[in-house]
Amino acid sequence: MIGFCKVAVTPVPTTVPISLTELAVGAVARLHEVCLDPEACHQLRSLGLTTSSQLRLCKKGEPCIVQVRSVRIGISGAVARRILVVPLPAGAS
Amino acid sequence: MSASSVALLGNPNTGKTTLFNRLCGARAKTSNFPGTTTAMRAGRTHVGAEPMDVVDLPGLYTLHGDSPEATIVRGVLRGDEASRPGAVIVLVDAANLARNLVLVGEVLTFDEPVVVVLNMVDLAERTGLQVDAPALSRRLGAPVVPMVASRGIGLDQLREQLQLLTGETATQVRPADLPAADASIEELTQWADSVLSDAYPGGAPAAALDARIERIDRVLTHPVSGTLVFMAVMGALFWTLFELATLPMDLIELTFGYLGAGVSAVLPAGAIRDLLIDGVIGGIAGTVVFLPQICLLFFMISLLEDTGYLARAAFVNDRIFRRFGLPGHAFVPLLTAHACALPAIMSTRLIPDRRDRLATIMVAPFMSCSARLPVYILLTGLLFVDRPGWAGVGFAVCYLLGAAAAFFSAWLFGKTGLRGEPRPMVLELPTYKWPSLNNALLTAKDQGQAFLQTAGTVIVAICVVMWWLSAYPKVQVPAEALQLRQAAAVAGVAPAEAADLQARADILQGKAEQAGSYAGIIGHTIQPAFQPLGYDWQLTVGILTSFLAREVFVSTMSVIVGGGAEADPDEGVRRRIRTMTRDDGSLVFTPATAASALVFFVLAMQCLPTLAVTRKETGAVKYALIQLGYMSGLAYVAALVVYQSLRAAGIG
Repeated sequence: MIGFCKVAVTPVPTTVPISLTELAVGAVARLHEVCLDPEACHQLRSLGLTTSSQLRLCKKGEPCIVQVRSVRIGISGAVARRILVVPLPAGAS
Repeated sequence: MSASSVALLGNPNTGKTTLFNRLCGARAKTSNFPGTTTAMRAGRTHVGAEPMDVVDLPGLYTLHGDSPEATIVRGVLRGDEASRPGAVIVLVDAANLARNLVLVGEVLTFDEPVVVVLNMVDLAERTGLQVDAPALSRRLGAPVVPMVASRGIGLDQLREQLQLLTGETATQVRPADLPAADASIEELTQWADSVLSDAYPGGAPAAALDARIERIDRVLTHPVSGTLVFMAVMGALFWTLFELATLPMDLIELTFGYLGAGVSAVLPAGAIRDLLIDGVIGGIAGTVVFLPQICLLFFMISLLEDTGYLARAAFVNDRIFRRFGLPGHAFVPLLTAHACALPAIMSTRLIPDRRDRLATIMVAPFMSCSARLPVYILLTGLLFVDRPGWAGVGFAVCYLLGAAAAFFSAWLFGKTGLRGEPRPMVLELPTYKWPSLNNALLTAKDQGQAFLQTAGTVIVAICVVMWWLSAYPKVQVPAEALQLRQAAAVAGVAPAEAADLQARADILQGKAEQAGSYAGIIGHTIQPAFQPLGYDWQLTVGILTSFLAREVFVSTMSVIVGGGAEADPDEGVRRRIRTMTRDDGSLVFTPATAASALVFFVLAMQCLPTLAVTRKETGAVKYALIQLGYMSGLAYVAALVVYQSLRAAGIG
């Protein structure tokens, strides 16, 4: 959590990918990589979670809820752990 | 399909069903796409004076991938000249254009003329999104019709566009920057973004967060509050179901009762009358009586689905179900199965993954359906004579045992035949909406029809066969019964005594007819297999006949003890069942036998219509056979353990 506070106050965005489960609620991030089987990757992409797409974490936990553009997607923890994102500075959208 | 046909396509949750219902009304037909278990709805609408066929294609996000839905849709769009639709309507959510345009881009790579319907513009405008439809239309090279399908706004404009498109002169020029047919979702998304910048006059809007939706989602997906809400919603649903379904079910039973009595009064006694009353009318009544529950259930599920709540509830249940190898979606089928396994198996279509769907279909019939109720009432009454409190506990234990068997079996299948974990859940959480009454009514009608078609014919056929097996060959009236009747007919016998003699004669004759019938002969032959479970030949006949439909058990037992073939026997018949004896004179229903039979009925697959639906929904006879073998095998072993343990403990 402390790491995210840094992201919020540091003007330079960090480029180290973290798991979606580590992202702070309300934070915006760019999708970096999905470490899942091709079928699950396809499902995420078809819902709008494509490579480099921007998402906002609305709720942590089981399920975590992210918003990609105006689509809200519920993601179970098992999947969220394997989604790597790069947090973007606050205000990015 | 031909020039006067149109295919309807769109992302899930874009109001596709609503638009289809608006176009086609109540005349639509539901079937499966050829060679698949994916449902296809087809209907007819009018464009100008001309009729036009409408096919509702499965909802999907993209034509990429090898999901059954994507394969079906690609097949339809790529079909030959004769089978291709004359035009394609792509329905998009106005509030969620970016992702919806990916599908539009994919469809534009096919040859069919396209019309884009911009649905739910009212909801989009409420969130401040104003789409420039003419600009979007120019950009896509296809007409764009703004619409509020739930209120019928934009329908006339859509019909006009369809008339223009299916005319012979229609040609559409595709956008120059349209990604190629084999483009990736990422390329299509980029293209969609560039289209969007032209569609929004003030530039593409930033995605806004709705604080109200955030709060509601937090409550509904929370482990504690989410579970409480879920239990309350389901409790209300089933309470309403049983409350509302009772009256029409009683009316149906009453009507068929009168019908039977009418036929009985008109026709002379004999085989044809018996066939009509016990076989045909009994069979139709036995099917139609479930219709109110099925229609009501689907009506309420459709309302719930429309609100957007089901997606949230799926996550709440996923936490628990996952441990047993079932997906969170399985809660609708498993709850439905408490009413009837047929609609439960039909409703597994909500589950996207095939393994998950199969696992749910295989275990759903373990849930105690309403057809088991009369059997539970009878057997718990026999097990706990004059102790209604204990009978109630026994009743609850039956329900729990069924549910436990379902979860245990799902876990077992996950470790063996259906190896693998349920697919981790990733679901779009649709916007909360008011449900559509019209959609719910049409869903109820469609599912009711599907039930009658699949189950009805099978049940009627079963009843006719069952009737024949238990009525033939005719045997001679036993001499003892004749003597009793003669004694009753002697002048001077008190009426009460005469009635008693007649009743005893009826029992003797009923028993003789049962024993001599084909069902009785089969019962006698198979009885040794059920000996270790404590069943004599009469109980074996009851068990065997109930393999076709379990509620038949109660009427078979009533017939054996000389009552009518009533589903709800009176106290006298129940007493006679309780005191019925084996050939050696001992009681049939000792506590151990009653408990063993009860366990058998909780677990065994005794419903031929369910097997028919399993075969249809899985697309393979194999699964129906496994279901029959596994459930009945488990029932046999469990009943054996119960009977032998109780005997060893000195009970019964």
